Amino acid sequence: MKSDFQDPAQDPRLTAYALGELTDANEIEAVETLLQRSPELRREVESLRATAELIRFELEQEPCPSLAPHQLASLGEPPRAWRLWPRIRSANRSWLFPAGLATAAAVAVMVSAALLFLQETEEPPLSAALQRQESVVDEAPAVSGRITNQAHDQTSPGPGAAAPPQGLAQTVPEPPRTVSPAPAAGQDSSGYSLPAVSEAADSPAVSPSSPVQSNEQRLFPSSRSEQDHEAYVETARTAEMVGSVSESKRPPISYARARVVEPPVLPGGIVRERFARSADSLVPLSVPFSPTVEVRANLDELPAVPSPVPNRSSTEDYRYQEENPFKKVSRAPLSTFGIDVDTASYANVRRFLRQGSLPPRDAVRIEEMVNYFSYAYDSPRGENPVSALMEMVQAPWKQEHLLLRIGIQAKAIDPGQRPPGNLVFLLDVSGSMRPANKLPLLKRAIRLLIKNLGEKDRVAFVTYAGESQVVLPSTPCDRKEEIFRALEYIMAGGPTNGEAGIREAYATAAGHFIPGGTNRVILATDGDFNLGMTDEGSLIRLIREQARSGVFLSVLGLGTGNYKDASLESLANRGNGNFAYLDSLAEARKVLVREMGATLVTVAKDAKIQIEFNPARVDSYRLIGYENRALRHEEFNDDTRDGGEIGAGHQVTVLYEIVPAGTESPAGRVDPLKYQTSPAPNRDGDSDEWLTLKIRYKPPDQDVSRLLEFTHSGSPVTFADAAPDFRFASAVAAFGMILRDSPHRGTASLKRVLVWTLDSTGDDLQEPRAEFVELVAKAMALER
Amino acid sequence: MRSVLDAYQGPLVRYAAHLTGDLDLGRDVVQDTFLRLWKQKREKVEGHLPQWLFTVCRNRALDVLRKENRMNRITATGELEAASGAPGPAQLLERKENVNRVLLALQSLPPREQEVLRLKFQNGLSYREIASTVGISVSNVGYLIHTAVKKVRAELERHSKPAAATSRNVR
Repeated sequence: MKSDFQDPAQDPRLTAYALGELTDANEIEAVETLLQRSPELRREVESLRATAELIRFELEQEPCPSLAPHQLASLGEPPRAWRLWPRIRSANRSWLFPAGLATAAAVAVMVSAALLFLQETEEPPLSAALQRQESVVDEAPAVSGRITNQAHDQTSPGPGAAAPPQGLAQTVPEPPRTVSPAPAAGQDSSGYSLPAVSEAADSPAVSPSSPVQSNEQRLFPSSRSEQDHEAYVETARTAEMVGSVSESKRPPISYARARVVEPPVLPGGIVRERFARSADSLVPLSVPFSPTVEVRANLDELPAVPSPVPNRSSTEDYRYQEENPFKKVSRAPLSTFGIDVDTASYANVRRFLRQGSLPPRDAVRIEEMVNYFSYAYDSPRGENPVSALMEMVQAPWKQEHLLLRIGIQAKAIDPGQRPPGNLVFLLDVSGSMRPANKLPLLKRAIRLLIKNLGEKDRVAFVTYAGESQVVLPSTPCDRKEEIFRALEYIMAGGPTNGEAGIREAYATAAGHFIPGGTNRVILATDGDFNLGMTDEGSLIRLIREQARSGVFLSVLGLGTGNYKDASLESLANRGNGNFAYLDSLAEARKVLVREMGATLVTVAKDAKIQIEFNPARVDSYRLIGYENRALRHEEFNDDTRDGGEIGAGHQVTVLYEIVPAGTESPAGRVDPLKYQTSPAPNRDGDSDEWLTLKIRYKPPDQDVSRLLEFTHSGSPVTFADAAPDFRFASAVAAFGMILRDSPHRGTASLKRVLVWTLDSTGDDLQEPRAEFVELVAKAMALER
Repeated sequence: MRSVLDAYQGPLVRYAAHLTGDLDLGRDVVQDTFLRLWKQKREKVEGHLPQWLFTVCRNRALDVLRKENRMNRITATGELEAASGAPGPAQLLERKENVNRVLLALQSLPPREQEVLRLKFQNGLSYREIASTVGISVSNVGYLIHTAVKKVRAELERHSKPAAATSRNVR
């Protein structure tokens, strides 16, 4: 096939690409080149993917009727050779929602279409089978909805779950109307049974009063989870017994849950099914159980092929983080924290959801999710590197409360004006980086970045595994061929020694230090970083020292299963750098190429925020997110204390939930003080100001901080009247609270989040926002 | 233990029932498909089992249709509705306001496009596997899917305005 495209938007190969069906490397390259040039084409690809996903979703709802009992009987026992079938195909859903670029209009349409059946269908829509031919209706198991979570039925069988404990061997659910689920021939030796489909109301997970329930059930019945899970158990078992399933062929199913509860392995390598099943039977996995898509070479889809260790517990590590509580202004009028512009948590949450599991609570950092998206804030004027916008609306999840949004915008830097860069890539090439979604993805991402660098910029590669090695000494970027060749030679293998690597990398960066330029070490790793230095503390000290020398550190997190979220983030924080998680080439493109200005050029460092609330107007407040960035109030004015770094064009969005004065506060009560009177509002407190916002920052090349002050007054508006951006940010925060199962979530539900999002996207739905909507939908499918 | 039978009978019955337009016929076809499979040497099918199953299933379904002279079933659904004055299931659905636009859009596609979409999205077959199952070229499959996806999208877009308006009222 030729790789020229006359009219790319009309070319079927664009759809093939969108679906991951393009196999010819030249054609893939050709499409990607076109995509890089044309945002419209990117949106088209996203839109095609979104449509395809809706189609897939719909088709998957169709029931899978099994053979009749007498037919099964006549088939008898399969011949020996056919009894075991380990190859469970993992559908290639990876392409579904890569770092969202979907068309505004098209996706808005999808969303409204999705919402339509979310909201309007009191009864589950009938399946295609029903509509196709009325003669089928009488006998066919045509109702595709009302399939409850099987696990609920298992734990608390409702009246609808009337199936006998031993069902048909085939685990395909048959609706009760059509087939009486009598125990039959071909009983399964595993003892699996699937309760007959029960009415949605039987599911204890959904409050019976909720009008949404049947729709949600309809939208995302988990009819396949059992099969998938069984498939998983068997695959794992078969792999152990036969040892014939290669790593890459193992399905990525159930992986995330299996991580939580490791199925005990009985002697003989048999996984105890009941245990494994209960660990995961709730998850409608993203893997339709019809079998065997090869693992494809197209890197854009790699994120869906996680390093597959389904039957082993993962060592992913997330630090426990308690949410900020409500605080009384009378006792704590100040709120102080370092500005955080990381967005890694969102990409990580997305990875979990795409793989068909809810993220662990502590992987959800709300501020990073909110800050993943861009909002319309005014650019700073004059000398100030940042501007601030403040707005207040009624809190959508609690009517009596208000929501304060602070939007901070850093000044943008024209790419042409970008100071020259001196970049040292420190690449983890240990054995764990071998999977395609790690080092190979990374290499492609770096290629993308380097393509955009110019002759003023320099690049070096340092690898580390057992020992560190300078693969490419600092080289000007007009010698791209040389750089690419060096990149090609980088392979994974060996254990990890991060320390030697990072020393080498800093030495290289220092050796070619560009005064006034961007001097940065970019560490890319899956987090197995500390074999050289035994504790995280000494590594952090090293990185801090280096940051003072003017060489900052950015950290790129990669891969799954071994991912040390907390330690990577703290490395970046200490290195005056930022931290991003790359789960796909699209994300890599966003971080390294599109946002390069922000990622590589710092316009303000050690930025901190302090807010003083006016007790006359605010009774209590709660900072949403930023838990790991809290500072003591004294630290605000202490220039030796680290804050956050703000890159060119970066935006920071901060949300506070506010309890207005005179409203009952959820903050705890304390007895009045005996020896002093609590501070009372003074004359300034009499004004209609709600608060004063102070931002402290240092220009990147200076060590003395500057202070900016802003105040906010005026009346809050209703949520419906809020700016679309504000509504969207609120929806993201609410989504985060739901995923964290936050006690502060109030009336927020996934469905309401979806509605807020739709309301707030309007006609100019932005690309990543479309993806967010899809993630919420995915979470709905997974919600217990 | 999970056998190939457990793994595939559901999807195959679904596919065959769609082809024949009749669940029982579909079941017969699938039963027959498995009987044939039992006679195959596993080595011969190993590596392309889904493709083998869907191909055999499809051929059997077409045989049955031919035999019973019910070829119209495979093509009729869309046109019949439009032709007859009586409201088809789709219209009935719409009246009940249980509108599922995606499903309606899918049903308005020509049978061949519906079939490749099913093989692709319901059964996870690759373009190549679909091509060999249906007996057309890979680029033909690409064209059919491309066209079908775009048609569905256009259909959804057509209905987007009222959809957005309604959803706004519901909280």
